[in-house]
Amino acid sequence: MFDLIVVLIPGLPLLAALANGVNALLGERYSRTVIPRLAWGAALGSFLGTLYVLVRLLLDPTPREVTVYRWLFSGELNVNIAFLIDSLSVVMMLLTTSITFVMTFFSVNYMHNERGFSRFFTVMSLFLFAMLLLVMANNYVVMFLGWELVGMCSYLLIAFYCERPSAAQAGTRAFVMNRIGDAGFLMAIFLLFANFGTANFTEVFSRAGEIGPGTVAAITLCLLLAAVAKSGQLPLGTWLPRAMEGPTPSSALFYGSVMVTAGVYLIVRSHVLYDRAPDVLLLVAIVGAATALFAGMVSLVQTDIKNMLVATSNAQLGLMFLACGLGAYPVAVFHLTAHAYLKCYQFITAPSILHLLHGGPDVTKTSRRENVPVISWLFLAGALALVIFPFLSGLLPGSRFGSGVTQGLLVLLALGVIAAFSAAFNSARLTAVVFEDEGHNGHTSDPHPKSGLRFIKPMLVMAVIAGIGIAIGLLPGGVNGTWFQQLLAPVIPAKIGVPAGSPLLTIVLLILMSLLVASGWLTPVYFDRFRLEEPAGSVSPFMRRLYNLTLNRFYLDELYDLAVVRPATRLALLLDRFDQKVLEPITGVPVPAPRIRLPGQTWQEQFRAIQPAEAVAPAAKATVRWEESDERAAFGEVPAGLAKKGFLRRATGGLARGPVGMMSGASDWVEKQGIGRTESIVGNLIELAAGVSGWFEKRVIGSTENLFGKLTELAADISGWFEKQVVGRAENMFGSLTELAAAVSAGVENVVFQKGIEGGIPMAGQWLGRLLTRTEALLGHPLVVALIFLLSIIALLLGAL
Amino acid sequence: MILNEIFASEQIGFPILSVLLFLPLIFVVVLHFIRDDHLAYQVGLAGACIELLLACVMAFRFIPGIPDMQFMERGFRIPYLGVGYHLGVDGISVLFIPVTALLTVMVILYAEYAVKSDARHYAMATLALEATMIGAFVSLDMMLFWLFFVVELVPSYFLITRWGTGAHRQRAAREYVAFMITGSVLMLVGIALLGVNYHNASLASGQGSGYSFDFLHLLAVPVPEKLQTLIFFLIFFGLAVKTPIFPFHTWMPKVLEEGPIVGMSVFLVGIKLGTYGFIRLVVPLLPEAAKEWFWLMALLGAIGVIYGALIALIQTNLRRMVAFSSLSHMGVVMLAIFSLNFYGFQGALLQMINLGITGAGLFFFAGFLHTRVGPPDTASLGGLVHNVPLLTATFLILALAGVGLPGTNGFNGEHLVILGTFQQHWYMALAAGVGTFLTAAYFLWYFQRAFMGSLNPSIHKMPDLRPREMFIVAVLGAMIFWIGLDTGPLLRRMNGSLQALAIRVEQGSYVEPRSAAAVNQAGGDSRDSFPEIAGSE
Repeated sequence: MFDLIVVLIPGLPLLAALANGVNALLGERYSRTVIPRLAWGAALGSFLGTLYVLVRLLLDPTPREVTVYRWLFSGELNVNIAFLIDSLSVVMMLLTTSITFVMTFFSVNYMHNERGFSRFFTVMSLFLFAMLLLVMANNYVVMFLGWELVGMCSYLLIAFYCERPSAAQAGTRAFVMNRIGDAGFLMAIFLLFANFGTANFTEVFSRAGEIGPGTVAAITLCLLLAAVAKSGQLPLGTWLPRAMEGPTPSSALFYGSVMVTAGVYLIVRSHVLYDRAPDVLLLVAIVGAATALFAGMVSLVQTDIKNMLVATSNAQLGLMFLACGLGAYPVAVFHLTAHAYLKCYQFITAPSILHLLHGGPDVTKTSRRENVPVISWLFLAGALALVIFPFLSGLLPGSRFGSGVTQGLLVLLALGVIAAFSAAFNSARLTAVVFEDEGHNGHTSDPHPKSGLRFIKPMLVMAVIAGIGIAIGLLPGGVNGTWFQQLLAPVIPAKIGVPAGSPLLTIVLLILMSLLVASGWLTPVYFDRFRLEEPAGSVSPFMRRLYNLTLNRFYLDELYDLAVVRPATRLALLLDRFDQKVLEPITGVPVPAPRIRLPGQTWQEQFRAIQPAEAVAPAAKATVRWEESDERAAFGEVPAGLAKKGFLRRATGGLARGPVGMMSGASDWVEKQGIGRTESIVGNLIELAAGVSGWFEKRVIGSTENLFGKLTELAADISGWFEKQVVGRAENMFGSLTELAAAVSAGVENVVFQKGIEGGIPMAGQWLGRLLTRTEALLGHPLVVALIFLLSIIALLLGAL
Repeated sequence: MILNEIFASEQIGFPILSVLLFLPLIFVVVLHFIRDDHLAYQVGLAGACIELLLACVMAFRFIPGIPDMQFMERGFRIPYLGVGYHLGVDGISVLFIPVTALLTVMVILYAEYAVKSDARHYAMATLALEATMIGAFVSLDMMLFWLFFVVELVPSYFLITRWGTGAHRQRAAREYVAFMITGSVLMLVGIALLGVNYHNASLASGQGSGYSFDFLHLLAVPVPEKLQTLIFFLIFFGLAVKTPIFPFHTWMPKVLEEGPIVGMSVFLVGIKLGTYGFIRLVVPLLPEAAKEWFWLMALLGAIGVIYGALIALIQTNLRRMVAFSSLSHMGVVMLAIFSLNFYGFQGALLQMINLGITGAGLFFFAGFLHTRVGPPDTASLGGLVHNVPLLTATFLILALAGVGLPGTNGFNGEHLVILGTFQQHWYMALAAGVGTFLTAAYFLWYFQRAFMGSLNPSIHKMPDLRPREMFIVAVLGAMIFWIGLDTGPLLRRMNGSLQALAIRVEQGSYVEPRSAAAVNQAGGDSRDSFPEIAGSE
């Protein structure tokens, strides 16, 4: 029973993906209600299965393995498709299934009337399958299987609007960038095979002590490369902002919340190896910190809501890497979980806000007035959570150790501060955007904002989820001994280690951190002044340059283009020329010039010439097809005598010119003989075969299709019934509860919100703005800046010593 | 290594390899007398189907897990010259035969779209080509092998000149033949030297004079080390041209671009006689030379991987791109063979089989495009996703199998290749690693240019997969996922021979020949150094 359910968890989405995939390929045969029902029904099934597994795991926390089948390679390299169910994988499974379920549900309205409707849901289901494979795998090879499939799904969704060249290019780039990381993953697998003879997690981790520090470092470095590419960390993260070309629900699922966390999961899963390679762990921390800084700065200047969200996502991922690098794995997992829900929520609310701001054909003025407050409040809640978040996951773990490990505390504190500031700034700015509608600020790369009204339902769902997220955040999950940590304890012992690198490195790290703090304070204040819109000369050119630099993501993409893509293309062109101009004359055997000059009539032209004949007279098709001869067409006008003479000349010439020519002469002869004999005898073998296969197609394939269609319909009916019965009832109940709450809150709103907060928000905004202006004025003095800078470094160094 | 011989009469009751070899030839003769093009085509297809059926029977009756030669046949033998009719298959060659037969069926099946003239001769030439290739795979006499290796040129030449699509096909065919003949002559000298060595050795041991080119006889007689190097390079040239290996590949893009839509091109991409020669002939007969020069071979392979992939990156014509991608894949196979260990051999063999499916599949796909828009150049394509979803999905599946996505056959082959290479020389494995993402880059870039973006205005109406194409794609797709998800049956058939080969390379050719039983014993003992055959129980 348990095993069956574990297998069904990834199995259901796979089946849904197959069903929808067949439909997508064979031209959308099911009705539009069936497709999404299959997709979200499967996701819901997986979610329920995961809940069952969670309950079983809570009752008995020992990890267990479920083997599906032997996917054998060779020799002693036995690789099984097998799953490892422990608390870490269950947490990830819950996260994946629940968010995917919500996003799929949400997409129904979003993708409404979209071209490639079933293609989208196919990929969503396939993604769920792949992601589940990734997090449930019990060995690195199956994990890699999921890893690659996830990358492929990401490719398919980035390039979803493939008519747009930018989307197509973004997809290709993302896939190739990810392949670099995948090569690292593969190398790690080979190193594991070479050293342990297995890639099984339990075996590798239990025998991790057997190999030398150099090998561990190599393995962990390779894994880090993979994680960096997947999670969009520096220096391989340039594909992440481009990935926003896809539909918004998939952006939320892939780049906001679930897929990008795979890198963090990989590191946490391999923590036994990383613990044995402190230098690599330090590198993880540095990569994370650098990305957090980079993405934080980038997020500050984005004018596009989706880009801003993905940049903050990236920054938060950097923080997770940093937490891993400091050995605070449970904190990273906690951060990962809560952040995923939060970001998912923000991504979903973003398009409806945009839509309301810019107005679509459906939305009247009244509906706008009706909806703005709800959406804005929801958004504000998300923004608030984003502000609170880094403090929760960043500060709380710090409070738990004593003075011995101040470094970790300080680092996290510093990062918490900058991220918090960036987040606060962004939230304030976004709120400003939402409430004040600053014209140009709200463009998204997504061309299909949908009606705001239809989003309310899923948004309420998301509000609940965000609430849960915040609640998890408020229950201090980052602290030792809480339930979250206890759940993870069998997999990740709750301890915090500080990288035992050299003191010099620590100091370098600290200086980096202090820079982070300083820039965290300075950038938002400064950056707003140095936009391009400001008149030239009013600001220092250096700052304007910095602003531009940040706006363009430090030109990393262009740098890669200049340093890798273009040289590679140029090299390829060069090699191609070398191949044709140098290598061919050298190795190519000099051959006599062709004696038969074809009058430029290639196969293609003949083909074109035949086409209309086929179209006009299908009955004559066979004759035309078989008897129209290349050679006859080529020599059709040549008189017979001349041809004969030519043949003799060719034959003698062939004799004189050696075996090749001979062969060619012989070939001509055979050709002539062959063409001469085209008399017909009637035979029916192939027709019989064609008849048999036609029968087969009609009977077998047709009836299977019917059966398949019926099965699909059944599945759709079941989930439809479920939707009506369970979701519908729950909605009713929920609806009446909501009405009650609405009645209560209407009163409250009249008094508190409309008078207090709706007046208060602008006031608070004004206040914040004034504060910022003041601070800015103060920070305009270089002396003050230098002082703050110096003080923060001194404080940090003092704390470290 | 002394291999036991299991004769066909004991194993299956009739000389199945001879039947496999001569059946296509018989059909060639029959077709010669059928004057009706359509009927001839149908009979040819039926012949190919029977051949495929027989090949499958042979592959299933093959006893997996043992290194012995199976379905052996010894016919006449020319006295003094020592050339004999000697057929047999082992784990190295057994899988190539069904793949060749399968491709033949599909090539003839696709003729209805791909061939506009004279289907009868087309079927004849294809069947003759099949016979020569199967002959090369089943012959255990090295002279016989060479003979098939060369005779293959005749049908190939006709296929290129008669059914080629390019204006310069005559020139391409000439160049192809010239290249191959030059290489084959060098190879003939090499094989002759092997025979001479056998003659000298048997004289020295007092067994009397006489030449032999029998693979099993040659195995028992070690070649002096200096002579080994000479023979190694002579045979190398012949095989390198055939494979092709950088820098002997220049004929390949031309032939593929100018040659027939499917015809022999599919075999050129899919059936790798050249690398088969390395693993059949060079490594077991000349292990010392192989061990001495493995680095050079691997280096050429590594250069080929990157060189081919880079050039493939900028190709706009799918057929040229497939040529360079094939060069790149051949580099991978060379790397694997000359890592000279069990996993490397396994990976090389599996990759060769895979190419028969994905490489040949890609060329079929180029043919699909060619029959729709002419040369499959990106300039005449673009924005096809919504118009031809099945065609698009086909390319994506083939490309991802070529890239080596887990779950497809490419992953298993590549995995073993890199594993084997890693054990011998890790820096060469890096070349294969770089190759993996360059491969992704060129396939997906082509995909982006040909299938995404806005619809090319020159395309009015393009049909999606037609029934026959659907059949071909379904077969190829089933093979891709079958091998990807369950490689066991293939590996089990290879393992016995490859283990023996690995032991042979490890021990060298100078160990005392022992009785077959002793070798089996030794094979059993050395299982410790070589892993258990998975699932061979």
